[in-house]
Amino acid sequence: MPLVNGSFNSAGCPTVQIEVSGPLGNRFPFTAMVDTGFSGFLLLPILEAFPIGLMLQGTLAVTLADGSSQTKLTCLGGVHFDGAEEVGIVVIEWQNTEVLVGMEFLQRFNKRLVVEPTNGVVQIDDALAPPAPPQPAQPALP
Amino acid sequence: MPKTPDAISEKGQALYREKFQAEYEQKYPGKYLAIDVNSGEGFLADTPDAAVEALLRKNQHAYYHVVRIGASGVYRVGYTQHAPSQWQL
Repeated sequence: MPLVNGSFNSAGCPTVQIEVSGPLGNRFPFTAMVDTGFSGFLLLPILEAFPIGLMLQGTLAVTLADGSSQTKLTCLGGVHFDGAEEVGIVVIEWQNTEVLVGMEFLQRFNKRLVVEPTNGVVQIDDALAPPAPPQPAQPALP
Repeated sequence: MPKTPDAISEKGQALYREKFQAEYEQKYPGKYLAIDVNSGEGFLADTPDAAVEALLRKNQHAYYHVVRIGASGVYRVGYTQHAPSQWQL
């Protein structure tokens, strides 16, 4: 099973290496925090988005942890990870925050996240196959 | 033409309320709608990127606002911040 090893950042949060590309096609490497509290695909600080050439022409609302909403700029961008590329919505954060990948990132790449803080393990590997549907009970043989 | 993120968002939300909300929240809860804030045209899809891609195929230079139908936000984030965002595009 293909497996990508990540690491913990100084705050003790899991991170992985990704590359991001825009319409110009050049890939830019980032260390992205895997944030399962973020339901989206990718969040980038605006100063990181400009060199990539991302076309900032959309907006959407995000729901913050306190339940309030905030408007963010967005664009489409490509993420390259584990030999694959997926295009998705990039949420642009105007403050200089960390690069985040969220639940949609794991879903789109069909991956699962394994985190063991006590052993320093951050792994992203292929999602497990869905469980087989339950079979109807067989009648007992005479 | 709205040229700040807040103006684009406000125009998009106004268009959503006027043209789409009543019908779409009955028919398409949980789906995503990308609204061209200049033409008022909406593009419905199962994912936000599919809605935006459909919109950009029609007009690649459009300013747009994305809505998750029936939800307050398209995404949830795990942090809280209340800083202003006053940019010009």
